Amino acid sequence: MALANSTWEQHWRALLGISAETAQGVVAAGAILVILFGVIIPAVGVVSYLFRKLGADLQARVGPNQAGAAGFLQGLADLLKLLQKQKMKSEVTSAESQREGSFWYFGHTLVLYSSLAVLPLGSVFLFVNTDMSAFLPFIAALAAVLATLFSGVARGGVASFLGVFRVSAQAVAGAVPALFALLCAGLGAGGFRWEAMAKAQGFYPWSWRVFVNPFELLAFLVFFASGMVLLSIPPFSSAHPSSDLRGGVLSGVFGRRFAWLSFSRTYALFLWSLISVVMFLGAWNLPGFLDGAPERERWVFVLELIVVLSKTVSLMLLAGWIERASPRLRTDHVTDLVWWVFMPAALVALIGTALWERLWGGP
Amino acid sequence: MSNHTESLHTDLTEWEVGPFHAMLPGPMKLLLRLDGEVVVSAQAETGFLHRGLEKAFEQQRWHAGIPYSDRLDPEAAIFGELVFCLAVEEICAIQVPERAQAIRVILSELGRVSGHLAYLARVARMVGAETILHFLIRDREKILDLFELLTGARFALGFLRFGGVRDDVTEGFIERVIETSELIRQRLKEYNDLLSFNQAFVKRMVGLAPLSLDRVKALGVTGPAARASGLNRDERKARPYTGYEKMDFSVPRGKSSDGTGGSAHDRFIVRLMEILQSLEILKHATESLVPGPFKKGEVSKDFLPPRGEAYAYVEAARGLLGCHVVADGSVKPLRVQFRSPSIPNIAAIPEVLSGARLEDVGLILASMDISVAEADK
Repeated sequence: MALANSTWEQHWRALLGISAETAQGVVAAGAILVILFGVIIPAVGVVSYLFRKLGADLQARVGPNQAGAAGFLQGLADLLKLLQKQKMKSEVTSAESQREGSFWYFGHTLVLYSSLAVLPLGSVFLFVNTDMSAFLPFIAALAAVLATLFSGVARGGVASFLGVFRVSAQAVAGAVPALFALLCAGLGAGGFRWEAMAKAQGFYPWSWRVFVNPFELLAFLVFFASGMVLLSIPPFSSAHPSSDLRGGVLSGVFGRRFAWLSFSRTYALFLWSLISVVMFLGAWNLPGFLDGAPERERWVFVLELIVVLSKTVSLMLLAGWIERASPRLRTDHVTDLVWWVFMPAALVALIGTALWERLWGGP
Repeated sequence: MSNHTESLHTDLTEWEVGPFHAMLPGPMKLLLRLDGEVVVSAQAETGFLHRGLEKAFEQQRWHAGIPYSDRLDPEAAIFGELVFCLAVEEICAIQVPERAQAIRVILSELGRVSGHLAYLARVARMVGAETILHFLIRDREKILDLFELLTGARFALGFLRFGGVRDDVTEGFIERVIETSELIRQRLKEYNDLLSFNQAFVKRMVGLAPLSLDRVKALGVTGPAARASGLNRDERKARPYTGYEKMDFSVPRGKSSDGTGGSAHDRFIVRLMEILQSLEILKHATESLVPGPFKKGEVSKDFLPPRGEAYAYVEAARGLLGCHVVADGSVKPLRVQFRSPSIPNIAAIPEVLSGARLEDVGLILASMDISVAEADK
């Protein structure tokens, strides 16, 4: 049986050596752990390192060069440092708000990582492949924004409280055009299943949705940029600054909370880049000659993973390059940009995609 | 209906920032009253960095005052030294040799370029433009290298003497100055490409925290901040000192020369243009470095100026820096007072912050180019 035609459960049972009698939930849990520790954390670690090295190169600096070979373990060193930091007395107003704040920071990260179960990392990794699949990470991102918002309220300072309003404004502004852009992808692919979206594209760039339909190129640009607004990723990060320079929902956050925050924000960018790749940039598709080869099924899914992760990492590095090269926008400038530029562009993309599919699309 | 009005009533938020906070230019307090994100009023409180600097001059012999004058504004030390030396030289009627004057001009202009690059870097930091920030700091290091080459120090130079400078220029120094000037001239284009006319930066800076020409005059704001609002005054042109009358350069002004108000962007651009003019002056000064003595004889340790007083001034990187020195014929100064350009800039804080958004507070403060050390003394 070819890999693409089998269910995730059979493959993961074979991969993890779990017998047929074991409950499906155990298989799913094992698979998610493998994905988290075998795929996501290494991928995010590599991206963080590349971010730093490329950023340093752009800025005429050396970058990490002490922890491990060529500074590769700098992220780990930073994590250990952050975990050991003590709390400042001024960080929280009371024990109650401290607990509440920690809850929301933890919740923020947890909500984002709950999307692991619906990550489209390849044909074998599709645990939840429903008609609503494409909306699930989107909802996780929105829930994470909500958790950030409450964590700001729990902190109780003027800067963080005002930052809550910035987060809300940016989340609303970013979510609407992103949703329209997502609808474009669904229209183009003929559904919101990850499988459908992948099948509507091919391995080669000319078969990707962004190059098949010019309106979907516009939708992709709107989707990715709006996601950066929604998740407050630089240069649209005015609501979230971790420094005190401009004040914001998370200003003054450090130590363990900052570690949680860094994890979740990097993962959020990973998540958004991944779904952008699957919807618009060819997903995990391999060249045609690799399809339907049963003897290759053991490593085909690894190739799919490499393909989809390479594109995702490239997109993340593009976001990193924009971050390094651009000044930060003010929150009201961000929302103006979204409502006056992204939103009309998203509507044009939606109408254009609909017309395109009607006139030149498939049956 | 009245209940609705009552339920919508909101108070202004008060936020006390400082004395130590990342958005502040140094140790100072800022009391902000906010209506949402908008600053309704702002009050600045300084004095946290008061070191009794002026009093310290009275405790030391005349020569020992020079290192103290370095500490007035550690970021642009040369101007404190120069203005103190000029005041003492006026009391003593010391004529400074031409070569020493040229060396002083070179050091002043290097100090101005260094100060302006640091200013641009602070603004870049406030808007989150990290790449250009590193480029600016990298290029400023080249200026500090030149200071080190000539004086052995990077910040507190202690290089000027009453009647000249401590040493003659070292071998290869002039060539390095010319080389560095050319490098920074080329880099100015890079700064413009990356930041000055970047759409996001322009949107944040243009029209931000305007200061009208009338208010500039009323507050006594000087230097690039005043010229950005259209004031046509530069002490190097208006009342030339230490050989500036021989230098050929122009005085850049902000776009709002009609007096409608110079914004943060004008203040930024004026400094960029001033760097270019400083490079021109450096070119002339290095060409006009004539052979000859670099100081007027040896001034002894027991230097005794005659009874008298003098007020000297220089165009420092931040504006007009004045120094009033009173001598009573003893081995120590009777009184030394400084007029620092940062004080009027601090006085302008309530005006420039009023109506600004909280996100811009740090940026506006950076755009005003305040040295708390210089103001607190």
